[in-house]
Amino acid sequence: MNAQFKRGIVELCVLSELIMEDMYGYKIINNISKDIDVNENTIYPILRRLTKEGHFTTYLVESNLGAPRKYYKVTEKGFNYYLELRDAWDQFIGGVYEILNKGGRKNEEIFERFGKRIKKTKD
Amino acid sequence: MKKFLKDLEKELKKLKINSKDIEEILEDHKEMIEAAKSEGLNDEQLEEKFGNPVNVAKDIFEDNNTLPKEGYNFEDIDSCVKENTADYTLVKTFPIVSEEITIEISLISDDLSLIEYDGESIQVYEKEIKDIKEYTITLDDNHFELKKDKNKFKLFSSSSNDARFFVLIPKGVKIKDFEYKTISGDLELDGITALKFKLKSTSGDVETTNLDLGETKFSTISGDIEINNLKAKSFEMSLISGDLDIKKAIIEEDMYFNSVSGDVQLYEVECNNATLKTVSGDLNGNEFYPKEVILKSISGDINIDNRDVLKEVNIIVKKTISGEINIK
Repeated sequence: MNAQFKRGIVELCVLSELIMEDMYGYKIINNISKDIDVNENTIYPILRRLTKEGHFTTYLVESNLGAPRKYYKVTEKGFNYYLELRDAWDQFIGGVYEILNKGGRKNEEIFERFGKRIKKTKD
Repeated sequence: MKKFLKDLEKELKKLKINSKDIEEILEDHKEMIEAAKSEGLNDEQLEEKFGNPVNVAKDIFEDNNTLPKEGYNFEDIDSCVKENTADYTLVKTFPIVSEEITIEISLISDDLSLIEYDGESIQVYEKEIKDIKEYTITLDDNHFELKKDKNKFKLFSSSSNDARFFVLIPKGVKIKDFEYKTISGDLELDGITALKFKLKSTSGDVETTNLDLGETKFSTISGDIEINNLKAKSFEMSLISGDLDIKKAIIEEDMYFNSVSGDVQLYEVECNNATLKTVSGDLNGNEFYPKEVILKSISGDINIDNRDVLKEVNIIVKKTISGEINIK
């Protein structure tokens, strides 16, 4: 996937996770990588940037397993930013699905026909 | 993973990131690796999760240096939440000349309520619409139109405030064709009679009560749909991730559900054939009496829980990987 595009989507995912509850870095990474194919490489830089830009604040919580953990919390600015991204994403993906689903229930027929056409040109 | 931290430090230094930032980044990684370890990840899994330190360093560097800092004009958070109590303003009134009309509505983010009432004319009200000139509101040749002029899609453009339309339709008016489209506006419908009904919403929610419809088509991406008391000839629903909830419906012919991950909840619903095509969405019915059901899914299920044992439900087709049809 195009890196810039992916970064935008992961940004929205990070915001979405943190709107549900404050979390520490590894938990965010773990939650997101459960559903989409990303790792720390992608997520941490986003966490860091959004914190720098004031979308998140951080606080430390003592952990019974070793060092205290840094929790991230969405700010008011971050929440508004989330709403913007979410809106843009919904509009965008809506448009994409509109295009993909143009064939509607006939989609399967279209696929089949397309498959035959490809085969013909190969032969 | 000590090597990871060392390599990361080296890479960050190479990119000339200042030492205070480096210290912080290393501290964060130490903590995250520790957290991962405490959840029982072994070295191999850790490597997979944390990847290559070169990429981390590069991404941090790029994020710091190349991404534009947009100056958004964020509005007060309260404006998103607080209900505005301002009253509606009457915009237009159209006397009805024919008992048969067509309705076409196309909005972007404004909410709409469309309600049947004891009156003689179609009335259009608005609340907090920024510029009413951006809308077409007409009744021409028994064709009613409410449209927002569409601007080209702008990624990350600032979203407008939620405005609202309120449209009253006289009782007894038959709608030949009802078409509604929105991106993110919510819709409320009450007491409408229409021969042909088509609704498309991207992320707006829909709530309907007491509709009497012919051929009915709903389609949404992530908006939820709630339907109460519906009579329809046929019913077709396409969902991506939004959920559908129907309470009391009589569908003369077939019901067709196409969903990716949205769930369908039915209560007191009757129809001829019910088809569910889905990836992972479920269809749950209580007092749901289709004569026959078809399931095509990857992991979606059909669960039906009925009290009336005399009405039989036949399973016609079941094509699924791990989905099931359970009828009680």
